[in-house]
Amino acid sequence: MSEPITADVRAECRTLTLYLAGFAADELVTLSYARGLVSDAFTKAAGDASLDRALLSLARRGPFAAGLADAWARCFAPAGQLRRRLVLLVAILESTAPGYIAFEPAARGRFVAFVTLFTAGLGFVARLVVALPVVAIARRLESGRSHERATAEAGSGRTT
Amino acid sequence: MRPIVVVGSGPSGVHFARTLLDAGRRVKLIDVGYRRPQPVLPGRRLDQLKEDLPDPISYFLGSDFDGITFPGNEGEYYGVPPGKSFVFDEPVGFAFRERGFAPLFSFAQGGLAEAWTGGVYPFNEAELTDFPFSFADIEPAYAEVARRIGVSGEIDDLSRFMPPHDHIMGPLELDRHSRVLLDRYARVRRRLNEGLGCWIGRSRLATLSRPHQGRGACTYLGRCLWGCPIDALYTPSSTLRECLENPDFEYVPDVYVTHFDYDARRRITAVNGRTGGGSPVRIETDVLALAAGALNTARIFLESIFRETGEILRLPGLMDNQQVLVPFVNLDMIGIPFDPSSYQYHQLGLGLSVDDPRHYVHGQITTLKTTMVHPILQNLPLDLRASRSAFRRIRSALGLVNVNFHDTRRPTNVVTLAPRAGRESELVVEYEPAAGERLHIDGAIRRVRAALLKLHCIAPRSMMHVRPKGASVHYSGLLPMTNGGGTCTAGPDGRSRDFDNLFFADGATFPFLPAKNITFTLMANAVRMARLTFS
Repeated sequence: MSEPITADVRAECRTLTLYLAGFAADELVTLSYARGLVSDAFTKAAGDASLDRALLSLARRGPFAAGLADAWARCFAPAGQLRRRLVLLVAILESTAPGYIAFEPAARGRFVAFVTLFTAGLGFVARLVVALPVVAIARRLESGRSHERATAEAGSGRTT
Repeated sequence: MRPIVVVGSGPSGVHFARTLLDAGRRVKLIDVGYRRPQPVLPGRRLDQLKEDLPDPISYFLGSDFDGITFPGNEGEYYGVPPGKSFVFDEPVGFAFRERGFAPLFSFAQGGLAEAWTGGVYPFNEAELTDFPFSFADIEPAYAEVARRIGVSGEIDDLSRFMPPHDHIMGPLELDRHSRVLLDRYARVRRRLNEGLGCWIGRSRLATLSRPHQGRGACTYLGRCLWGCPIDALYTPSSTLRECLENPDFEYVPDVYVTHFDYDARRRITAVNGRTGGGSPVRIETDVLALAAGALNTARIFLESIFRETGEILRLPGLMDNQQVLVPFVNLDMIGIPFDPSSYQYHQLGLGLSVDDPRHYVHGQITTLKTTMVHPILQNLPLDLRASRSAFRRIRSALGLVNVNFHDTRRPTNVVTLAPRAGRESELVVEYEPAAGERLHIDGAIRRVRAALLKLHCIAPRSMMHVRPKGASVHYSGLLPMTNGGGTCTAGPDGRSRDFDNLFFADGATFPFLPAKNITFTLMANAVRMARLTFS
């Protein structure tokens, strides 16, 4: 990696790793994430840019917000930028130590397993319910920002 | 007498060559021959590689992350691990187009079988009905190949579909999930056999349960998918290494064969190709054996005739097994620990009897052990944090049945050429599924899911995946062996009926494709044919 990692990418990687695995990304994970974002395999997808920006903007606010954005994206934009970034990070984490431990089986008996499955499902539904209005607001804000950007660009185009 | 020239180092080519050498013949094997990288840290388990490799990301995900299965990418659950990408590299100038078929080609040393899962399935008498020989004719060749490569397994309920032969060593150690499934099967066996026509047993595998022919036994590193680092899982490059020890054997790598020359009496005089650097290569020969894989053998055959006569032939009868992947969750395994020191590929098989025994349906049961988890997590109906949490509790309970279906030669499934000015022609592959195939598949999948349910396994229909045609890479049927005559066919010994000194040593000659991995039969048939003419 010849390009330095931007503060935004570093912060995004840290937030998303905290959301996914519950710990902060180390330097290898951060470097790999930054490399992955510019790889051919990652960049060949296209999508709804405005929606992607809204979801990423929400997810970068912190691990809890990332969970809301992900729950919404799982249902309504499963192949969008946010999900692709999260899958990239999962793939990196599961390939390295100590990240892979977070994906190893946690065998504590059948009862605990069923309780965990139930709470995982419940947590997802709760995050989704909260995410519905939150993402709607994030999209509206993003739409406003896009409009401002477009106006500013048009203005600068006229003056030049 | 000049050496016999064999084209291709896949399972057919190396066993054809090895049999010729055993018969005292001289052999020159021509191959593109992309080589697999040296195995890294051969004694370490898969999880230990994540700790010990200096760059685990490149090893597991590839230097450009092309080992990641991203959401939105069409296709399979899993991509090819970066360490095996050499199997599918293609030489410059090779080109194909397809309709209804997604072919995979290999120009690697060892061919497509460098990426196989080691299933050893001899064809039975019914499945050989269309072949110009019986099981008794090929049985000694099955035994010979088993002796060469090492086959582990058991004679059990699946033997009703897989005839036994000599040289089967004891089975591998079962992983815990497979053991639970087999124990449960023992309790409900009668209901499965009589109610569903379903039998379950141990897979017969080309993986060593004890040291054999200089190769070590499986040490359960969980690295099968990434390429067995100790060669306990057989690949044809092992036989190629054996051939290289014989002074009568010459290996000519880095040559992409384009066509052969023949004279007015239709006798082949030379093989033509070019090196990776583009230099032309011409090798004169008295006997040529094509073992480049059914599609590439067809390409060389068609291109040779086109160059000599200007005629573009169409070869009908392309076959490939349709495969359906049926993931399942075993309720008996939820919350149970998982042992990373396990054989990673399938250890159990499932057979469905059908009225016509040629239409037997075979399933390979793979329990989830070591693997990449991101392709699974993204498909669970939860956000990724919840998916991770749930997955950790059910990981040991997950498995997959890869259900295989037979195929027949039909006139609609054709391989031909599209000429290109100044270059080799483009290979054209066209395929249409058989009428009624859907019904046959749906009926079998219903029975598989019902059988799984009796084993306490739930197989959600929404998670099933019908693989694209061409994905099983069991290509065959383009230059079939027959007892009668006809152009573009071969005799029982694989000798071409169009060129007297040309042999087809690979799957191009199969007149029927049962629902079984054909690699073992490719090897055995190559041995049988080579013995018929040259021993």
